[in-house]
Amino acid sequence: MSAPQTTPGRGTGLDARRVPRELHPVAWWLWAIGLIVAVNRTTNPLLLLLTLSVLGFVVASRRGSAPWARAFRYYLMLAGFVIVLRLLFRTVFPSGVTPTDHILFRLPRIPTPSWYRGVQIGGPVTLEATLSASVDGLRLGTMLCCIGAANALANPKRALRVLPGALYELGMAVAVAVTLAPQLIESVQRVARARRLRGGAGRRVHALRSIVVPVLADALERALMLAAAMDSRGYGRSGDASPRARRVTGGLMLAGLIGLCLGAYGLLDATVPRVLGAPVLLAGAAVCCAGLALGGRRVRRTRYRPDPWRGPEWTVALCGIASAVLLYVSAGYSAAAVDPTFYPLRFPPLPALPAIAILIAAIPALAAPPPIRSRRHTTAPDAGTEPSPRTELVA
Amino acid sequence: MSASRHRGRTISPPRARAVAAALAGAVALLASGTGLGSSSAAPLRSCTLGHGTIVAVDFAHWGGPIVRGCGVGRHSGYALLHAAGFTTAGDEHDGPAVICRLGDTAFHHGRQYPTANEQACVQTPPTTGYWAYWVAPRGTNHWAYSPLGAMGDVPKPGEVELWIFGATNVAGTHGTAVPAFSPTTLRARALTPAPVTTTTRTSTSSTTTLRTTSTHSTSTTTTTANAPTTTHSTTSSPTAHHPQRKRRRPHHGAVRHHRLHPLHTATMPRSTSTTSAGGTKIVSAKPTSRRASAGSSTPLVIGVAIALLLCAGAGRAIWLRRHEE
Repeated sequence: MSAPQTTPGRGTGLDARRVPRELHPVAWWLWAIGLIVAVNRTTNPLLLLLTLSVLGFVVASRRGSAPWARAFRYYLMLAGFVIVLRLLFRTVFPSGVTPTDHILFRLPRIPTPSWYRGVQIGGPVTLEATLSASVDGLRLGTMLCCIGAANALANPKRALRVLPGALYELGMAVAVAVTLAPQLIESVQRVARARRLRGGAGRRVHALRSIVVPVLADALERALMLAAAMDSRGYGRSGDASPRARRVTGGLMLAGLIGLCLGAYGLLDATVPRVLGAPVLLAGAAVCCAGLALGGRRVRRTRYRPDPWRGPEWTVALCGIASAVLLYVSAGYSAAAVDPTFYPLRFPPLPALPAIAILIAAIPALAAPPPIRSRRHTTAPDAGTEPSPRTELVA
Repeated sequence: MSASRHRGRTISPPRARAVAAALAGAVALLASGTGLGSSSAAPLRSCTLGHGTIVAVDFAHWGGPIVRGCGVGRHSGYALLHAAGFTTAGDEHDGPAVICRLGDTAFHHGRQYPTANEQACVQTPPTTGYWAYWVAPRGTNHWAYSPLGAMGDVPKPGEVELWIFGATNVAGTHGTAVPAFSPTTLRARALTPAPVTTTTRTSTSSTTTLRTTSTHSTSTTTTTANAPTTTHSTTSSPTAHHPQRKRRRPHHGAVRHHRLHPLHTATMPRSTSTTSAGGTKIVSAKPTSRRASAGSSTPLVIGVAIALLLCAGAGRAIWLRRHEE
């Protein structure tokens, strides 16, 4: 890290004796993907709440002080937005009101013609519908938060190294895009702070302009610096690949992607002959891999300070995978508890094994090494323009 | 789901009160254990030819009978099922509007089919095994695949609705869920053993409705004798507004007057008694008195406690970080 001054995370007794370091980003991503898979299997609100609190606990204990490490709270807001949106839609378009439902209130019903009877606008809003809409939203929100946790915990620039050579440039663009929002927010906060220090309260319209213009200028300046930094590292050069090799790579990728599309269509549509399903999908994947391998050869990369994969990495990754596997296995035995329904209205159960599966994912909060924390925690410009020890060199 | 009458217990807070308050009230209501009761079904004999709708569920897939019930003036096929005494369960993805399981006390003590082993009811049931919904409007003798769901359909007087489990193709024309017996077997007049005059008309015009059953290639219609005007002309019958009827050409209509049991029609050669259709017994639906319990609130308390504990851990980590910096 480019942090000028680092201090060991002086936490509890256990953390004090351990050397702070960044965990391998792939370990965090495996952990998060494991949790996403687990969350995808359940609609139990208690299990979802447990997952959210596990995520919060791990992120609060093990996040660094880089700008992307503060992303988690925005993902939490996004989850809240998803739930509110879902509730709103379910309230305006009520469907499936059964005679035994508990009606909270009634919205004025807008009559629809018979050919449009499938959609009902307005009408009774029931407790059952409200609860199931919130749980639906909560599930999607929890999945988003899993991604948010991985983004907050794993260094996106280091995660780039794992990508195949051919995808490196694409991945770089994604990493820049992902870190854009936190950097913008940090920039807004910095400009606002400077304004307050200068004592410029101003009227509202004026205040808005005096914040937006510097932030835009800041963003433009940062983009130019980033472009210069990327250019000096040879980003976007085609290397020593011959035009023919490039054409072969492009053809392979195109054929592979078409194969993937056809295969997915064949798998999902029952009327398509079986041959067009899995075999075409696998063939497409194979051709894509060949294209990536061929394309990756033109980018020669060397490694400087490679990320180690040690015990804590194994623990973190296996915790995520274990919770996914355990939840999937146990879901078969307690299907009603993993997917409870609100029709009829009843309290959600808390199945023991799935709950343990989710709690296993909290182990990384203790097992992962303490994060590196800089004293100066406004290192955003450095982090943005100097993806510091990134040494992927293009020949 | 024990179909209970909630009119008296419906939570209807004043407009100003927040949803949260109502939610808390409902939870308290459930906790007190008084939220759910039982219902009484309309007796089958309250359905006549022009009054009430017959609904039948075919449990033949599990070796069971056809269970038949009646509902009067119901606003949806779903309400009709429940009024007749059936219990339903939706799938988790679509909610209760999609009928995934059906049960009635008359068959295996109200156990809902398909069972959890057969169908998880998590996603929308596949076309290889689902409850197909068939409707036979008043005065017709063929099943039409319902273009609407249980909650979209509005039962009309004199109609017969049938739920049958099995597979169909996408168009709903072939498969095991296409009924092999005619609606006549289930009609209200089949309940009364007294002989009535039937007017049978045979027509060569094939049905043009896309989703009619394949068993009626030579569509035979049986008009009923209870209505006073059915003896000479189909167009003057009370159900003449049905578009299907306007296409029927009467030139093949050899009008035969029988003094026979209503089930002995051209389409039903195998049916010999009022209690069977295609070899399957027909029994009356019995109302379910099963109480649905609200469950225990202990798991909720434990789950929230663990979540709060984890949040406290997160709060402590944040507090430590603040004090470090």
